[in-house]
Amino acid sequence: MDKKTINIQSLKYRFRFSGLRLTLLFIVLTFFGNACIEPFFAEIEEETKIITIEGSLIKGNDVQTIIISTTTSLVNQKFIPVRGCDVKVIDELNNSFTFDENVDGTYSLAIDDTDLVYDRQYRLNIVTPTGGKYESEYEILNRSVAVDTVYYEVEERIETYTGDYMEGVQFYIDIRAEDSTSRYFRWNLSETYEYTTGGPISYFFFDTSLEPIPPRNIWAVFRCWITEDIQGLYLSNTINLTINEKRKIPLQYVSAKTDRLKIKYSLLVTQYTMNEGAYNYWEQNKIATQEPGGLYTQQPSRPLTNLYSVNDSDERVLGYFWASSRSEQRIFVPRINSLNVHDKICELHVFDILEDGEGPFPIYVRVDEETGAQMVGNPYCFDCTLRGGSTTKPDFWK
Amino acid sequence: MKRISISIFLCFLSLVIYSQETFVLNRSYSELSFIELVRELEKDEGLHFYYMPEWLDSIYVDFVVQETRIDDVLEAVLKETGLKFHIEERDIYIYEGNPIVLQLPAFKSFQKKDPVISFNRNDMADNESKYLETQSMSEENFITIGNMKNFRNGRRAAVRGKISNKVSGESLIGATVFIKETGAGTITDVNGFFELKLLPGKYRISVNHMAMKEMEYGLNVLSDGALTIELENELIELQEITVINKRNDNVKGMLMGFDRISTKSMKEIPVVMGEKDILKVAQMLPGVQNVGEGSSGFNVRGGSADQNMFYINKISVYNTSHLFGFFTAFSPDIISDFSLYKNNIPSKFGGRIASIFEINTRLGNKNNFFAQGGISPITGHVSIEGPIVKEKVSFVASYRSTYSDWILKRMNDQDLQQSNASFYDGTLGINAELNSNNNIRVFLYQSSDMFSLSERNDYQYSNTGGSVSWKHSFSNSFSGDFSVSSSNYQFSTNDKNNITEAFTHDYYINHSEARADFLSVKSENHRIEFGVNSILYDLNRGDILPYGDDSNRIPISLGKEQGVENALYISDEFGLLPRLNLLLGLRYSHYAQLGPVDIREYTEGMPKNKYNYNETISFGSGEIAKTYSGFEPRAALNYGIGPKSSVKASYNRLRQYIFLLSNTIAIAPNDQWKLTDYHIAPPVADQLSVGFYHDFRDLGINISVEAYKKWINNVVEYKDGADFISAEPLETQILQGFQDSKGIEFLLKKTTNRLTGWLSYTYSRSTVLVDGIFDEEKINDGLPYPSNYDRPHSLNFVSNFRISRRLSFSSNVVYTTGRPVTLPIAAYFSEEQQYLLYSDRNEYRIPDYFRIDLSVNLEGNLKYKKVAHSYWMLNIYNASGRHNAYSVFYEVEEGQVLGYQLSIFAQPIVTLSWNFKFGNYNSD
Repeated sequence: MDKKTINIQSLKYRFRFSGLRLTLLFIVLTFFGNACIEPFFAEIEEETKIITIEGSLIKGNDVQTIIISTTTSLVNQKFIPVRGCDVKVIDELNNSFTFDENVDGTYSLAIDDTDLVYDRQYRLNIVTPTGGKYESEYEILNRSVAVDTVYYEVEERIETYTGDYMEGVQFYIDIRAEDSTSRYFRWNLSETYEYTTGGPISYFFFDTSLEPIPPRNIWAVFRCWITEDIQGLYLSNTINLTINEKRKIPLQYVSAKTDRLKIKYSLLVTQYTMNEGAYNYWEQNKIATQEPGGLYTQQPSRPLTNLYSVNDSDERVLGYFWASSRSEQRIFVPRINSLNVHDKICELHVFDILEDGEGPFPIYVRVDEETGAQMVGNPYCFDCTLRGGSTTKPDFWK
Repeated sequence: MKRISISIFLCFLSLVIYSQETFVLNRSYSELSFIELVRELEKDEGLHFYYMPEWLDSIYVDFVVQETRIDDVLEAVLKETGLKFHIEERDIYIYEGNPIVLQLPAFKSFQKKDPVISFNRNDMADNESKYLETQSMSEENFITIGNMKNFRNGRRAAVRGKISNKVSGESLIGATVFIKETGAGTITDVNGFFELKLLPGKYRISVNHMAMKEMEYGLNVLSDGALTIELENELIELQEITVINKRNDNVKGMLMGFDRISTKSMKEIPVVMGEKDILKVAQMLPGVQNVGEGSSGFNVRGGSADQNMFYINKISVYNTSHLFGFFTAFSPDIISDFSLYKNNIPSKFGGRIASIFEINTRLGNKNNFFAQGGISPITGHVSIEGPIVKEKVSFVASYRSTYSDWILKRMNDQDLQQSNASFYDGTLGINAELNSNNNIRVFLYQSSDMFSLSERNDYQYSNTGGSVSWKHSFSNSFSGDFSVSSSNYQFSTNDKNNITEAFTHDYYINHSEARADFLSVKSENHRIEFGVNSILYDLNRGDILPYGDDSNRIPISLGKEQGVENALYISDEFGLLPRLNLLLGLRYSHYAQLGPVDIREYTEGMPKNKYNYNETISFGSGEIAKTYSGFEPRAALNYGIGPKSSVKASYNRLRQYIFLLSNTIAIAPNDQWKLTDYHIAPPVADQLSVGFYHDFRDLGINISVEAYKKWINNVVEYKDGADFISAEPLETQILQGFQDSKGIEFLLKKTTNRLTGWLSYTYSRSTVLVDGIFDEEKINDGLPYPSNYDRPHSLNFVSNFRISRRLSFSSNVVYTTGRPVTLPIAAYFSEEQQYLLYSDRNEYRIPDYFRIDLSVNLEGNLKYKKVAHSYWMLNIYNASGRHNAYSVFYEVEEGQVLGYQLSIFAQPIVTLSWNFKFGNYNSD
């Protein structure tokens, strides 16, 4: 089994240990000097199929999306859509908005902004092809609160298993809102960064011959921009505070061990204000994934949903329907010279028809400027789009 | 029957004239039976003879005496019979066996009351001496109690005794006194006294105490009287592991579910980091478990940790751990022994529903100064003791502290260097034996912990307490124990994780207790105990206040609570039939929640939450807001199947008026104790147990099997996401349910010879049901679920093998079923992220727990007169290096939900510790 010794510092971040649990581990590691984390497999035999309804109404989004699926086993995790449902959002004035299924299990509709009114209540109404009827309680559409400040600090961390130091950038957000607005916040994060391959493509080799690349295309897949949603639940509230203001709430940490910070990095923070019910639902989900078997954690709870089955009040329904509005802030992180950003080194070697000529094709070739040798290597070193990025510069890129 | 005919001719021209002390005979007889002679003398001369007719009916005498002393006559007559006699004025006692030794060891006050006459060897005929030497008991061990003056045939005499350490003069608590003829026994109390009611006659008693040489005495009971027995240290039996049931006996005693262990015995049990730890030893006993390594407290028979009451010399201790529970907050140097009552809890105890854990400290050496201590990788500890007034007043003081800061500074991690962890505990005890009827003890205790983790969290907590107790004997058979104690537990925490939200929280609870306990011994198998106790609770759950200038935290006052708990009890233990002993006890406890307090009244028929209350009632200072009370019957019986076996049964009811707010599995250093109140009713437990006990005396092995079933009402549970530092009243977050525990415990103990130790196996189950009217008042959909402490199989093996007087090996083997845990059984997707769906509560288990510990003890030179003694202890904890799961958790990594287990002692931990003793003192 893959055994790993752990480093206390890394636990803070990697496993989101905090407070007592972290202090406990700190004591263990200080006094007894050993602790160990290793994979754990439970033999779960239960087969569950519980309907999961994820839906939100976000004022400011072009398209509203409701996703209906069922739970999946932990062993073979996959998205199991529920197709062919009747999906409607109804407001308190009885205006009804019917959603269409574009992708399996994903129902969407562009609702006119004028129909999404602050403080108005909305609810979800679903009928599955098998006749299951599900409804949500009325949810009020929260007013948006502008993002106050998103900022970052260069911080050191320790890697979980190696215990090595690493540097990187920790993002923070501050809340500054009127007391009259919601005190529950959630953030979705999306990162975009620019990256390049090691150099241009001189030729490509297809079947048996080297084909020159048209000069305009030599640099075509050299530079890319990639945008990815960051996983994780980022939540905070100000209910324990005298004013609706909170500072230095940690968001994402970006390590200099990847090349994300090499050229330019950008984080888009989308802030949602929520009702207490929706917030608690997400917060309980967050707690539940932390350490269910811990001695200093609470028992995982069943997050209280606002969805229920009309036919069978005992049926469990997962998910939450919430209504909110969004505000955004984007922050750019230019190359930080003091940071020793990992420079992805592409190991190239001289092209050998016998060893390299079997494909897969095309085989990219770069002519070494000094020696004139034909160099080949991992295709990622030649085509930036292979990592999932796009060569089109995003509109917001500065 | 052999007829003995004795012919004597004595012409004793004595100059001794008739006096009060000596009776002179002038008679002649021929072929007269001795019994007839006796009758004649009784009739004519006003003498009284005491004897067993069967001894004398075969003796015939022929003699002529003139002016001969009666003692010379009797000596001549009885010379060849092996019988002996004793004359006291006109009373003449004829007896068999060893001569009466009338010289009592020092016990001066009683000597005044009961003058005794001494016999010495030189007065005896040669053949008597020879006869005696062949007996198992030596003459020094023969004690006469009382005198003939007060002798009343058929009336029980109160035999009051005291057992002390011959070297130190310290009273020996918990020494067992066992009457071989009747099978009855008793145990010395906190001042070393015991009391037995015996019919006049001869008995053989054995006196035993942990770490002391067992002594056997012949006892000739004439009338009420007293004796002192001094035991010598058992220098050889250093490696003995003793588990002693109070009232000695596995088989004969009334107690069930009871264990008593001395510190000395603990010395040989392997420990983590070289720290003797009484709670860790307790966890090796059947029915006692904990939730994980380094968790504080323990769980008795499926109960939560707050269902155990801890007393150290009558001071209640609310937090028994250092460093989360890796160490116990009692210095091993000062502890004499501990007792754990799991069922059949004596009527004098109450207030907790699972167990009473009573720690006795040493009394201190009354004659000599003495110091001991030790060094382990984590702590240093030392204790000193000695006389304040020789033979009367002694003191003992201890201190233990960690030098962890030194360890931390060695760490090359900046965060750790900025962190610190430290703890200490100290005690001071004074024991004054004013006279044989009055003993006063004063005891002070403090333990303190502090740890802070860099810039994130600070925790600090402490226990402080003091007690004064006065033990007074009203008469030989009636004594009282009066005590007052006060203890304080406080903690304070700072949470600095977010500067805007940072807060500080201080908490305290004061427990002030007064009690009077009386004991009346009617006879050797009839004891009555009664008494009263009163506890005043004063606690402040504290304020949540902003920490630092940047914090915007809303200040919250969690509120103060006051309550008073009073109890009266009586219990009567008596022999109903020759082999059937009964104990009937009744305790009545009464609890009152006192003002000032504001209480919400919730809408009838609605769940208690922040939306459903209409009004708040206010109670003024000292006003009673709510009372709870009830009887707590305690009953037990012991039926002897033979001298070596017995069957016992008991029934107990207990009430608990205070509990710990904790919705995590282990106790945390910032968990608050809370009183039951207007809305939260006290948990009540009923326990029924039966057991079978057998001794294989020749092998030194005791076995017992005990089965129990326990029902707890109003057990405290919590709603999901309960928050104990929020402004919401706790009744909106607390649920009360029903707990059902049952189990069977097997224990085999071996207490003699080179190999000692015990083997226990327990099968037990424990489930909780919380099924309120409304959905939010249910846990697990209102279905029963295993409690956090439900670990069905548990096996403990503790052994100690003595190679030589100086070298011994010991080991622990522990196996338990894994603790229940709620695990994810499925995942679901939401916004392209995975979330986890959990099983029913505690439906799964973490992997089984298994551990072997080994230790080697090497004693220094054992010369008795040596000034300093020392010993080394090498411990290997978790010698097999098994990765026992401490907890499990899940992470979503690259679209996959992966499970991890955390093991905190993932490899063998080897520690070497050194302990020393200064002063030629060897108790313990």
